Amino acid sequence: MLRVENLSKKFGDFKVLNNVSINAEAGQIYGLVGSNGCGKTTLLKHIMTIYSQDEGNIYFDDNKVMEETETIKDFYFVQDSLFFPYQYSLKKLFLYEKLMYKNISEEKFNKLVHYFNIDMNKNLNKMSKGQKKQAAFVLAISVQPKVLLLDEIVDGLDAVIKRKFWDVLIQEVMDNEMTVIISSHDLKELDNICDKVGIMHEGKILKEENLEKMKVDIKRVQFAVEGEFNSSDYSEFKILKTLKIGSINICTLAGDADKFEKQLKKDFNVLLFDRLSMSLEELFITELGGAGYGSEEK
Amino acid sequence: MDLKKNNTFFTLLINSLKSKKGWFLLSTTIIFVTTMLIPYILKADEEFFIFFGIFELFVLVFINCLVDNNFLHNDSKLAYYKSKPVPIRQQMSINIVSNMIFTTYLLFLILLSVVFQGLNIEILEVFKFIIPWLAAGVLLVSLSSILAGNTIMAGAMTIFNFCLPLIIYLVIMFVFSILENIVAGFSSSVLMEYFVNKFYNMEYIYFIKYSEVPIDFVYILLLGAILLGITLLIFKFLKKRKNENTGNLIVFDGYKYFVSVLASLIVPAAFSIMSYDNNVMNKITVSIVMALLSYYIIVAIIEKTFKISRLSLKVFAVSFVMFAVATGTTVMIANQHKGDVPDIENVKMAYVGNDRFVFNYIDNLDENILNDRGKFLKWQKERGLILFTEKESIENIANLHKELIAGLDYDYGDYYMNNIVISYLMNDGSVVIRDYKITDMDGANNETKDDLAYDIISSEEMKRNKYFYLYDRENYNTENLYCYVTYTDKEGIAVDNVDFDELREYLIKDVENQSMDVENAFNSIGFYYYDYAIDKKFYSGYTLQIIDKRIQGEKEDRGIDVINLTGFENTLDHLKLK
Repeated sequence: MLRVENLSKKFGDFKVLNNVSINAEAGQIYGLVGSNGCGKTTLLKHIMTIYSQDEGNIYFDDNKVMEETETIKDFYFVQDSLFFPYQYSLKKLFLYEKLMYKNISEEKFNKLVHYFNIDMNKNLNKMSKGQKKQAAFVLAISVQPKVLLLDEIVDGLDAVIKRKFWDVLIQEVMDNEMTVIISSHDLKELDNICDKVGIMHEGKILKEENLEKMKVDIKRVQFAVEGEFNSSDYSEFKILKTLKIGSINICTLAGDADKFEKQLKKDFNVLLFDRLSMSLEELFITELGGAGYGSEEK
Repeated sequence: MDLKKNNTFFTLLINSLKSKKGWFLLSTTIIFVTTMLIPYILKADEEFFIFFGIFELFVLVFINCLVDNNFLHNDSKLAYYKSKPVPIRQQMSINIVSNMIFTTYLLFLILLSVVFQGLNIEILEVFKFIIPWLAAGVLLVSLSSILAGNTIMAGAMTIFNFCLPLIIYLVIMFVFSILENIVAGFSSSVLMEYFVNKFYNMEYIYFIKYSEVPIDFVYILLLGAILLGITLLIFKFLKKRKNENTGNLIVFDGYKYFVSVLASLIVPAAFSIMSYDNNVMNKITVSIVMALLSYYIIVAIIEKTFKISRLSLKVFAVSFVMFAVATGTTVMIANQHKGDVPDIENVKMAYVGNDRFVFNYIDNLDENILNDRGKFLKWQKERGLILFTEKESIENIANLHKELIAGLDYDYGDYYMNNIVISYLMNDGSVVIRDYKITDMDGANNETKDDLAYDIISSEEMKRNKYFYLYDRENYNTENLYCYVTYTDKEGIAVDNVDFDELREYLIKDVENQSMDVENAFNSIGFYYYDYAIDKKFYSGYTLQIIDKRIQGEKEDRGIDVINLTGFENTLDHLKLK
């Protein structure tokens, strides 16, 4: 398990990470989502010891993650702004990385190159953005790390390639008990594959939860009643957001939806009551809305 | 585990060298063309092309090192290499070693060119300082690349760091130049010479000395210490580096201000050293304004903003106070010795004139000359200086010294001599040097200075030293000397083959009766051999040329002395030239 405890970091006077704690389990995919500039990439770079924290610690299986330790050698980072050495092809880069990674699998590499249909002799710097991402992903998987950090990995990929990505990734996580942290803006994509989600905003983790549990905890209901519904009368149900479209009320609540329905029926003549499913994107907006993000006046 | 680490190191080193194939090929071509092919075709000065090849070598190594380390100056490159399981320290070490191998290869190419051209192998003496420069240079590029967040800045910082001993030298000279202007008698050149010789010898720091002398233990020790020092700094700063500052011109705040403060002192230091304005307050004011302006410009460039931060101002203020304290302390210490005149009992030799480094020459003088009075006097004569050893003469000099401490005003008239140096070689071997800048003041009372100077230049010792060959009958006689007389305005020889032994007594009589001009005595102190007061009519009349037959070479090189015979009545009588 990868554990980040109370990590803080300042860039000059700006606190870019503020007491961040996350727990990413082995054999799980952890989704790190957050607003632009909230510190996702910075957090990943701290985990990789590229940056050093002002406060806090990072542990992997109870071993402190530090520069030049054996632990960090099992980590692999695929960054958003990819870099490949000058005039390197994927094949050459594989041979270079083979000198450093003890678990790298040539068999897996060849299979994945074939699966993604990548020209491994082509200069990596002459590839399209999507091709570069595929190449970096193929290498990452071939290395067979214990911890894989993927920063905006599916950004700019088409639907087919994305599907291939997730298939490979899920298979790897299942087979090798790998810990994967993915940061992404594409919340719809993460919705389908993440086991756990950490929502970041302004350098803080607002919420970290198992995705399914989060979806159970935060519900959305739509209903129509005879009379005027006032959300302030139902504060015990922790209503996070209310919206009225015509005669239909849509409420996002953290309390018990069944009890809320019963209470409504007691107070009103309920014409309609439906439970709506919430996507990760909606959960994200709800959480960030609670933190004041996106609710600013024009 | 260690074995595995070593394996990784060597496999990555080999990989790094393989990736330099292009550099090896390009460099071989450049060196081959410029040091072998072009001089061969042009049949030109091969040595020039070898030195040009060495210059190219420096450029190639410099660029190559910067390229290798530029991953530190780009976020994604740095993240890529830093996220690999090979520690960044090891990656830097691989870069350094591969660049050292590359440099060795280029040096070998130059050596090959020297052999091919059939040049004197002595040309390779320069390798004795070029090799340390290159080795330190490779390490300095790595260090500067860590300190800087931008490749161009890393290049600039490499040059800055390489010149750091020189910059510090300049700053120390700046302190001494301020001292020179405040405390009379203290010369920045003398203090620098002493400081440089004793503690901060640039010729050793930059290994230039070894182009003349063979490599010794000090060379090995110094080179080892410098390389080890830079290596330790590389690892220390690499560990402390804030990678989030990548992209800034300089990554470390401390280093940023260190560079800014030192660089801001260069302009005022150069101004202060070169300026001849004697007004101390003017100099200090201009220096402070220049330092502040330079600092602002440098900080604005480094921080990429014209708005100077409070921290930058605080750093400047603190640095200024530190500099002022250091300078003030130096001035205070010097001030305590301002009025010191050595006890003549403790003085072995004394000098007055305008040469600050008389006793430095003695330090390097052959024992044979130093211990042979005749040879030593001849040595002094060749340099136009007189070193007084008799107590009476030393006392005369000490008296003049006291007068200069009391005041520096003198009405020079037509010949302004700016400075008078008084130095003493003490019995314990130490040297006291005072350099007084004389203020040329119209209407100043010259009497005391002239009287005291007259005592020196008219002393028996002065005459005996100046005309030493007259008194050394054993070594300088007719057998060894060829003498003839010429007339200034006429060509040819007036009297040839003068018998020196016959002439000697007349010359001695005239020298001892030689009239001195008291009025100009102080002025003549600064002249070559104090001649101003004695030979006012030097350029007219008869002159006696004295040539040593024993010396080989051109006539001019063999001359012992040329005496203007104006006023030498007895000599002229004897020679029937009246």
